[in-house]
Amino acid sequence: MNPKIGKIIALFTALMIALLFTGVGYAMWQKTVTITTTVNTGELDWEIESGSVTIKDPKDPPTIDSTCDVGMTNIRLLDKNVGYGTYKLKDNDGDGDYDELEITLGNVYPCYYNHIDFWLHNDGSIPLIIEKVIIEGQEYWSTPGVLNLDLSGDGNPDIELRWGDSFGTQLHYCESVDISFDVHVLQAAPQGKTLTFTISIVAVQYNEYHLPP
Amino acid sequence: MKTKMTAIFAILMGLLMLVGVSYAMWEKTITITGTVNTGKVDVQFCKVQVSSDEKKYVSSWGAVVTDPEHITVTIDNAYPCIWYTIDADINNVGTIPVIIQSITVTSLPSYAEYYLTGAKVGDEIEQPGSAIGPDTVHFDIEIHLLNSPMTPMDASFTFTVTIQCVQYNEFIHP
Repeated sequence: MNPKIGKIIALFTALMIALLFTGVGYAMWQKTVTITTTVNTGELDWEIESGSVTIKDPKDPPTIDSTCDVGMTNIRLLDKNVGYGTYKLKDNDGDGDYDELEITLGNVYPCYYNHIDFWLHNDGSIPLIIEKVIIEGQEYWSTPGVLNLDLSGDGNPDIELRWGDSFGTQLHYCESVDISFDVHVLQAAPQGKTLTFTISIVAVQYNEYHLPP
Repeated sequence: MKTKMTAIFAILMGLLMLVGVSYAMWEKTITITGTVNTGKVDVQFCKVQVSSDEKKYVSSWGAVVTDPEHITVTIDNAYPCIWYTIDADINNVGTIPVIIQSITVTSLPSYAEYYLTGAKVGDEIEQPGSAIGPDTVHFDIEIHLLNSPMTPMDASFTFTVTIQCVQYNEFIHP
């Protein structure tokens, strides 16, 4: 036999034996214990309660108008039914509850006053806290008092808006809170116009609520 | 240099991760959309007529509604002791009830007199379609030249009657 071939056979045999040992190592008995974890996340959700919206001067039934002085003081009834308020609830994200309240004040005039009231309900599974309100792009972390809003962009305020205090209110599952605001049309409001405003109420999960900056 | 850049990049990534975590906080927003449709205060004249008790048809008269809020009345060849009457309606064509706040007469010469009947301060004119009351107020203005030596012949004068209507809730009792 060629000594070179003998060397190769010896090396191959040694390799085979080494592989055998390794194979034994891998064949060692073992048992695996498995932890299967399922995380079902909760839902942070709230809604405008259907049927909870009340308007002091609605269109139906016809109701006598109200007025007040500047600063939302001296609220009183007038003697005619001229202006009115209507509302519509919307589900914008399609999750089956109402997340937008569309308020329309029709045929209103300087000094006209109306009050809108509704309930917000925690229909999620995580407690939430009312963190802030954004009125016409401006954030408020506490009661802003009576706000003057220039909706026509002519530099003069057209309405006064007073937001009720609900900041920091915590709602557990199925709890509700009463929210309300007042609108007072000011002297500078233009005739025959449509003026719009937007208010966003932001709620956060209870453990992420931070005190106002 | 390369190590430094890598370190800065790693720190930035770490910070972004932290920021990402805080933005991931759950929140839900309820929106209120408010629409304010303002009404309109608007009145105008209609059914304007001018007449006279003159029997000889020496004078002539006419009225032109210059614009819905302005009547121009012209009386020619007028003379003392004849009554000329302008009668018209004030119609509420807006959407808000109004009340007559004031009626003023300017530039009336001393040798002429006028009487206004019908419309008066405090009269309410409802908006069209109101079930409470009429959306129209009628008025007569009678003009009379005095039989006085002060009354000039071959002269001309112009006077103005202004009727101010305000939205019903802004009426101030005089």
